Amino acid sequence: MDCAHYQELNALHALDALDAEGRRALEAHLAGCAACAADLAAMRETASLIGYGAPPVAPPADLKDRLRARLAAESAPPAPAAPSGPAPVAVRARSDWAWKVACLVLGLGLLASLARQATLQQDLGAVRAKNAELAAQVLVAQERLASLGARDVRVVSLAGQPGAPDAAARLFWSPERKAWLLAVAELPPAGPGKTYQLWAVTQDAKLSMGTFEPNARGGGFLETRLEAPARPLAAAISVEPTGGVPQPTGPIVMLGNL
Amino acid sequence: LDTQQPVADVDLMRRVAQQDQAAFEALYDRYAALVYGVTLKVLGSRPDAEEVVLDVFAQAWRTAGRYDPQRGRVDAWLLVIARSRSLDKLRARQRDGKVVEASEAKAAEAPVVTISGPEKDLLIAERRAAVVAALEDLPAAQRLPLELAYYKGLSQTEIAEATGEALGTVKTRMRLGMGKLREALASWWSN
Repeated sequence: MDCAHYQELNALHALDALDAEGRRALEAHLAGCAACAADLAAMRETASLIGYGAPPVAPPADLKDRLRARLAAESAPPAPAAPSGPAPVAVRARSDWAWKVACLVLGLGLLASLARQATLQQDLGAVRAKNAELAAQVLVAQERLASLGARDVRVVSLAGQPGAPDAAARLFWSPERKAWLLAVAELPPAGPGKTYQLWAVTQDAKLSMGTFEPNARGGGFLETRLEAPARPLAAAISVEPTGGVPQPTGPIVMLGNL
Repeated sequence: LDTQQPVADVDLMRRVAQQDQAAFEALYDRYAALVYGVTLKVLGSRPDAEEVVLDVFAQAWRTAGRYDPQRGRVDAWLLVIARSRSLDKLRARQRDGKVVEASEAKAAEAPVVTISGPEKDLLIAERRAAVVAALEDLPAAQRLPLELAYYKGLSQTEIAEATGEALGTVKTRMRLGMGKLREALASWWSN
């Protein structure tokens, strides 16, 4: 077979679509042909860029915090290597039943203690990871509080509407950094299958600023960014299906003019 | 990093490889919507897609040191990780017999916020426009098998079964489609 044939296979291999037989034949050829290997690399790059054709979707605002917490947890010092168990006891086989029973009991005990040790190690790892996650959350919270003092931060109150008359909210926003921090209080649960969604209302659009759930006491934060160039005129909170929606559909429960 | 002139991808990656958190977050800001869009298209479920986005960027953080600019673009590198992680999750879900609710899949299709406008995304918007134009230039019969392979992880045989076409036809169409795509994008990337 000549290279043209293998470069045809490259087009399919770049998408991992070859069957096993074609793949084996191609890989055998690629091992000895730099030109075809380079052709595959270029094909793979083309194939990977197909992803640009998927509509881009802004991830939820809290995903970055979750990523920070995850990385903090992963960089936590690894659990120390499990100490090696007691040296195995060499026992010469005997016909004596008492010996066999004793060995069995000893063996079972050893197994149980090893299993217990493994469980404890796992628990310790989980506790360490949790600890690192909490430490990261504290850092995020500290940064968040510190950012409220910045010179350009404006504070706006959102008033509870008929759906949540007792709720209160303040929006701290920095036009310079495009950062929004919403703090709510006494907001009742959104209800099963529902969530609260914050909107930036501009001259001609309502832009989703993300969804949030208040805690048991009705309090909560939402940290997000307004990337759109338009100047927001108002901030509104509506009740929407879990996961949020592209445009508001539910009742507005809180509103404030910027 | 909030300067007018965007930092080049490879420079960002070099700093990420040195475990520079600010550079990493800039990389995230630049590519999270692209990666989330792809994972969402593969998985059709927001919680699953979010999990994969976390996996993708955590892997990028861990393995940035192994990224070699000689061997490919940063966006292609991220997209390879995103696609392979998403397909892993899709297959795991299929093994477990989990089916994404139709309503959930539908909600996932409607972007919460479609990224548009901001200056810093201009470069990405240009690349997207180039790829979308190149894909739209393909006849649908050539584009479909490429998308089935890319987003659903189907093999040539599975695509033939799914579309009811002969295997030879599928192979020819995929080969032609990939060739045209490569040509169209090469002229875009080279300038």
